[in-house]
Amino acid sequence: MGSVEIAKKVIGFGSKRIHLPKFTIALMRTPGLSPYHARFEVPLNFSKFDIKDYLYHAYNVKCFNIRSYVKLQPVRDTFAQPRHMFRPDSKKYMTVEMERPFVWPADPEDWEPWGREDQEKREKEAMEQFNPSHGRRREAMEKLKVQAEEILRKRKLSLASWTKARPEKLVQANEPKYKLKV
Amino acid sequence: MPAIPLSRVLRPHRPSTQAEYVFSFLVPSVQHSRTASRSPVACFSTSPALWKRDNNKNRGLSVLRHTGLRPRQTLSVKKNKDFDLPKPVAVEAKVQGDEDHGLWDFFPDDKRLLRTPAEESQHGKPWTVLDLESYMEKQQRNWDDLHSMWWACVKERNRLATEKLERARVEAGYGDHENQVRDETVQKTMKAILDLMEKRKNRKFEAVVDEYLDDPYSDIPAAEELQLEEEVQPEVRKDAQILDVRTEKPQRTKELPESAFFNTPENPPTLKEKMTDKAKKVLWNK
Repeated sequence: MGSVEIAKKVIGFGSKRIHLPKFTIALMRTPGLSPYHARFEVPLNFSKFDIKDYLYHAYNVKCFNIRSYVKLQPVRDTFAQPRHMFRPDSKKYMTVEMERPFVWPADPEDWEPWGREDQEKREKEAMEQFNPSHGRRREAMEKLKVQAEEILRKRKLSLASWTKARPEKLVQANEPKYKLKV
Repeated sequence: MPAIPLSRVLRPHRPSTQAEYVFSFLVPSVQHSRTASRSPVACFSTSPALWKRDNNKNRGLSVLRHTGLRPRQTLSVKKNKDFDLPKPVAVEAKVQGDEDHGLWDFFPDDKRLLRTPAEESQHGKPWTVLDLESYMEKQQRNWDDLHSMWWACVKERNRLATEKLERARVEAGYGDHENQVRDETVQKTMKAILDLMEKRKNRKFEAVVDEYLDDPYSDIPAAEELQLEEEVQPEVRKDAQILDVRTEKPQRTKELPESAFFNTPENPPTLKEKMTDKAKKVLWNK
C-alpha cells in the first residue's frame, strides 16, 4: 500500500513562533479506524490549526481532515476528600487523517516484566479478605468443626482420624503419645 | 391504527393435536366461532390481513453496502446437496504501514509498544542550571543546542503520556510509578533550561553585581599593608584609639579625608560609583 498523495491546497501555517512549547500530546489507539487515521488527546485550549502545525513541525506528519471532540468528565470525589464532589477538566480528542499510514506495533508476547499476573494475584487476595470465596470458607468451617467437637463433646478424636485430618504432615515435637511419626 | 376486528386478524386455526381438541372449551369463544363459520376475509391489496406480508422480497439487500443475503432469500439457484453456493473471497488489504513514519517518535526507539518498568527507571538526575552552564561553557554550545534539548524533553513527555494511556488500556500492571518519576525528572530539566534563560537575561545586572561582589570594599579606599605587632602588651592609654584594620592609619590631623565627602557639586559620583550604588540597591533590595 503506497502513500496517498494529497493534492489539496495546503493552508499556510501561522507566523507566530512558539520556541518553548509547554504542552503534552498523547497518541491513542483506534482499532476501528483505518491506519491512515490517528487520534490524539490534546490540551483543552488546542485548536485544529495548532495540531496541524505541531504534527508537521515536530513529527513531520502531514495531516488533513482534522476533527475534534470535547468529552465532559463525570463528577467525582477522591479518596482523600470523599463526598467533596467536583468535575475534572474536560478532555479534548482530535482525530486526524494522514498522508501515510501508520500501523501500531504488536503487543509484547510476555507481560511478565509488567507484573500483570502478580498484580492480579494481589487483587484477588485483597478481594478474599473482604469477600472470602466459597472454597476457603468451607475449609475454615471444617477445621472449626473438628475443634468444636473436641471442646464441646469433650471427646478427643481418635488418632487414626486425626492423622487423616491433620494439616501438617510433619510432626515437629517428639511426644510419646504420637505413635506415628512422619 | 384503526380498530381491526379480531375475527379478521386471527387466522383460521385448526386444532392439530388431541390436547387442542380437548381444551378447545378453554379457548376464547372467538376461535370456536371461527372453526364453525368461516367468515370471508377480504383480499384487497390494502386489506389488513395482507399487511403482514412484506411484498418486497429484496428488502435490506444491497450490494453497495455489503449487506449479504437475507436469511430466507430466494435465489435463481436452488440450494443443492451437490452444489454449494460459492462464497465471495473477502478482500482484506492489510496495510503495511510506513517504517519512517513520524509517529514512531511516540514509541520507544526500538519501535516496541511499551517500555518495561525496569527500563523506564534507568535515568539519571535532572539537569540543573549550574550543570547546564558548565556544559555550555565546556562544549561551547549555543542557544540552538539548548533549544533542541527542550524539544527532546517535550517529545519524551509525549511518549510517556502515550505509554501511560496504552498501559491503562491494556491493564499491563506496574509501570505507572516509574513513568511518573521519569516525567518529573524531564520536567525538572525543562525548568532548569528556563531558569538558565532567565539568568542570561539578567546578565547586564549580573556583571555589575559580580564586580561589586569581587571587591566588596571597592568604594572604600584600599587599606595599606598591615604591620603585625609582635607581642605587644596592650597599654591602656587615656586617649586610646581603636584602630579599624580596613581603614588607613589613624591620622593625627583633625581634617577628615577628602574621600569621606562624596556626591557634592565639586566631587560628583563617578559612573562606576553610580553603577555600584545601583547594584547594591538591587542586591540588598533597598
